[in-house]
Amino acid sequence: MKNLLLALFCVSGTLSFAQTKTISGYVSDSKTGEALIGVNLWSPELKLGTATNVYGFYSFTLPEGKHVLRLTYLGYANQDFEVNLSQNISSNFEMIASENMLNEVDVVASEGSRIQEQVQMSKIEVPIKQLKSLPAIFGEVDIMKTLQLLPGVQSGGEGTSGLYVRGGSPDQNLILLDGVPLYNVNHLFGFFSVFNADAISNVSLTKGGFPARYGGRLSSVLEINMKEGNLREFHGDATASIIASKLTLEGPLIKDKASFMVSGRRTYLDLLAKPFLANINSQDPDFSTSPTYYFYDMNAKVNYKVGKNDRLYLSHFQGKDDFGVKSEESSIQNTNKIDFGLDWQNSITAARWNHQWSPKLFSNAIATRSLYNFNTRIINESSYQPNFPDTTGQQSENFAALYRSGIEDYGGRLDFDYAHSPLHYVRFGAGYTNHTFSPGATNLEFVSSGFNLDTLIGGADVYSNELFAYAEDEWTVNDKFKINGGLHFTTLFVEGTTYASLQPRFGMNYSLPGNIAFKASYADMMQFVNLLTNEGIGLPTDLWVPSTANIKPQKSRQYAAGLAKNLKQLELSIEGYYKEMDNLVSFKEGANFLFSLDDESWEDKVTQGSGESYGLEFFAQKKAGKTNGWIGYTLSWNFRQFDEINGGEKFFYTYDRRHDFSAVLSHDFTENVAFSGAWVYGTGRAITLPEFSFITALPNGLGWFQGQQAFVDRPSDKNAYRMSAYHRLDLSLSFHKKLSNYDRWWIFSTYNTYNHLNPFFLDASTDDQGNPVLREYGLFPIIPSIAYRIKF
Amino acid sequence: MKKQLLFILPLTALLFSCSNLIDGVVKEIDIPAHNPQIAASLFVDSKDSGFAATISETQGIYDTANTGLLDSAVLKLFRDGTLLYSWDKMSPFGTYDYDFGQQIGAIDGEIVFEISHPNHETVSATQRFPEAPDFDIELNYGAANYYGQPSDEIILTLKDNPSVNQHYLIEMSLHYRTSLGGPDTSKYWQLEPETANRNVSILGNKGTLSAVSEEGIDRDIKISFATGFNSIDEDFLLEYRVSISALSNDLYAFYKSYEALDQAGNNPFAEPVILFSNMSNSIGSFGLSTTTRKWK
Repeated sequence: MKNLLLALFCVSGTLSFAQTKTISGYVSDSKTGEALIGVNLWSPELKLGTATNVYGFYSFTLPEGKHVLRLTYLGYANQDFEVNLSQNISSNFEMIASENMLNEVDVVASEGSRIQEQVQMSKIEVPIKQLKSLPAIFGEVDIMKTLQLLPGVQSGGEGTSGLYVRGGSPDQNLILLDGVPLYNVNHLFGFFSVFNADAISNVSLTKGGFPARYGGRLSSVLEINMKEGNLREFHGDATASIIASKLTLEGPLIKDKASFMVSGRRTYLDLLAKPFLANINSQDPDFSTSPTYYFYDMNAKVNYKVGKNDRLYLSHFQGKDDFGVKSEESSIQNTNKIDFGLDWQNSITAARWNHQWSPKLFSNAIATRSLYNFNTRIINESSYQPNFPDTTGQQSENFAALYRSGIEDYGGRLDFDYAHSPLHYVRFGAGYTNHTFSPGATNLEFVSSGFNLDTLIGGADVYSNELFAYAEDEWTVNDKFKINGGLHFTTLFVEGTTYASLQPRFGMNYSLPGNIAFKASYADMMQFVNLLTNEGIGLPTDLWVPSTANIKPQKSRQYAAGLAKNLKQLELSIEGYYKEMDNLVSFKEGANFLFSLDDESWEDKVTQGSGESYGLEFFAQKKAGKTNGWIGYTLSWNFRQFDEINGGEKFFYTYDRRHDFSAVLSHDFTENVAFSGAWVYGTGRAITLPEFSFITALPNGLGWFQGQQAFVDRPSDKNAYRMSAYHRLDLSLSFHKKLSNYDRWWIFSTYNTYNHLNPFFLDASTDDQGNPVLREYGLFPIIPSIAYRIKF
Repeated sequence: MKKQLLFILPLTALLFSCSNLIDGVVKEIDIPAHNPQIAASLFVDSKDSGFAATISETQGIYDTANTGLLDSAVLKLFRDGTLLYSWDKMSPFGTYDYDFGQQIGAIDGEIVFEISHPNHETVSATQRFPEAPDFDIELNYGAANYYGQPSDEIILTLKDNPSVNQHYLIEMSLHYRTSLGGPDTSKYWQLEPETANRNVSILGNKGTLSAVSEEGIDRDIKISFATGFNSIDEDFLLEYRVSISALSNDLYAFYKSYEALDQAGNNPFAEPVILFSNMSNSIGSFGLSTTTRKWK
């Protein structure tokens, strides 16, 4: 290895600098004072650059002397400035957003922001402005739905928010909201995600080539940051749509020193439905029903600049879905009440402290809590009057089954950024998480005349402690060659067992003739949490379970290579990847979790196996300008192999999708009229169908006798069939008007514009004549919607 | 007019979509064609004195005809390539029976079960009889506690056969005798002892000891349990009879797979189960076991 590094130095002609000084500080928006993430600071002369971190901090070490530096950021005007680096300098910058400029020509991606310059590959950022211009469903722009339109990312089908990244499952995505893991991102059974676009400032998805600072999941890291709140002026943003309304307020608490942002959203289907239900119930005095459903979420954030070198942040997210049906049927003798309900809720809290120790050293300390709960209830109360001659009086029976599961994390981490020299940018840190898993418990109560039962089945809590540490260096070897290498160490303590893993990470960028970058990466990953899911149902009954003494942690190795180039305002990339996964967890054949009443633990119902996925991704993205959008295409293969499933034979993962294509376009016709559209096509989901039946003999034992026979239905080989292909067109048209005190928008949109049936599930049954039929059921036809938005 | 259209068009689409949401969005698709195949199954124990094979023809789930037993099949058993038995008559009970009047015993060598039929390709499977189980029984009178009452304790020790993944089916019964060496009475109990031994995989009724497996780890398997009977208190002499069958890997896999199928039942949330097969067409099973019986 030493020889290799030495050779790299010799062959490439290493850059070196005798005396260096550092310029450091923060970059923020000129109007709001909010920190800007990922702003590029670039020295055209030296062809060296750096970028602001997620707190807007930068540190750029250069040779002593005068330099012309350039600040570039998408959607903002470039800024050139001269510095004389005779000593370390602390300097904060403010950038002017393009919407506040007249000349759009200034807003172009410059050299510093080119993907061909970045070592990081397999990372996609969707600007919030672009995201908010895309078609809205029921007036709601959804971040997860938008991410599903990116190459290498697939949806689980109609009405789901899960991301299937490069053949991985949704539990293999580390979803961080302000640095805190979020375990369930679904509202309305997956039709909406919990992310309110009005409260979000930044979204980035990393699918591979993971730097050492990331860990804990195999397939992707989705980083979402809440807005910090305007430090200078009070503003609001409100939207009313067919099913939900939302309101965001932000402003200074102490001008230029402290600010807040609070955003809330709630559906009102339950309120709208009340008059209709009252009408229905009034028609039959003996029967009444009252289904209810609502969700809400709330984001809040406060930040405070304590001094020149310290900033404090406190952020909180709370979201809940509640679905229930209550019905009551009564007659002269009998009364029967049924109460069925599901509810699930997320809550995260993060407290952060940024500190600048020196011009070169920056740290972020964060303490976090993340909670996810899922509860189900079935309560039945019945009473009846026995017939004469029984004179025992009114009899009653009450039955209640309550199912609950959840996960609660407390954690902390400390990260350092160290800009050692112009050629080395070092990051290191460590963290700890305490997990408490409640992997499903059913509480049964049955009360009848003379009989009482109250019992708890399964679901003992499992506790685990997770530690990690990492170090990485982004090394500019020469003006053509950059490397990011690092190590991530992680360990888990659970049930007296210790798992440990040292994971090497590597990424490189070599500039080929024609300013084309060749990028390659390798990442070794391990994760200690698993989501047990009945494939495809998409209910939040999916169960989070930990690695235990019996269930080994999931592991993956991902290799990726590709080419990247900027062509004017267009970012082009083509990437190939190969990913191997071990110790994946799946239900055994015949197992299920829903209201399981036997005394097996969840560990008895799962089995572990391996996975393999590979593919090619093409992506062309234009992030800014009057016309912007992207085209993405993925060709991929995705397999699973479990000794105890499908007879041990390799099979297609249910979300194996050979072709996945998306085209997204936004266009501003005028300053006040904007159009957007998205079309997506994907190969149908791989599914298992009942295939044939036969008669088998049964062996002696287990109560069987020689010669005993049984009818057996045999399903197809695992995932041997395909649902119909998925395709959908969404369109949106918005009309903006600037009024004296506020701006207003009318937004018209259609989901599934040409009303294509996209299959959600298959069902085998019989038609009216008794002939067997196989039917595909879709969830959503064309859904038009209208929304009204004001911003003040 | 343009403004009116802007509202009329979405409203029309909204009404249309509401109707679809209420009526459901559904499409019939082609039913996959099914090509019928032979499904053959035979399970033989060393103590058996006859075979009872089942030969049926698969029937597509969506076909209206009934799944049927298949007549006119020719069944053969070979040992190391030499024909041992051949039979072709289906009994009135739907099984292809062959009676050879004495226990077959654990035959050495590679046993091939082959089924041919004029309308189907010949299918086969290969097995070996596992080695006879080597086990000890230790009986301790009244040494265990059974729901608060003294009970006989039995300790079974299944001895390891190195580098062989051993699976056992265990059956136990309690017989009443009038005196030592005296005649058996007709009174007996099938025992279903329970064990909490987590080192063994248990089939059948959950918690009831019926089958155990090494699960790939070379080890002696030691299981102790209370029988629920106390010999000291009984008027008759008690005789514990233990019958242990060593199962071939494939036979054990069949037991496990059938158990999963049984548990899944018609639960729509259960994962689909493919019944284990070691036949060349992946439908049906052939399994062998070797049984040892002991009394105490």
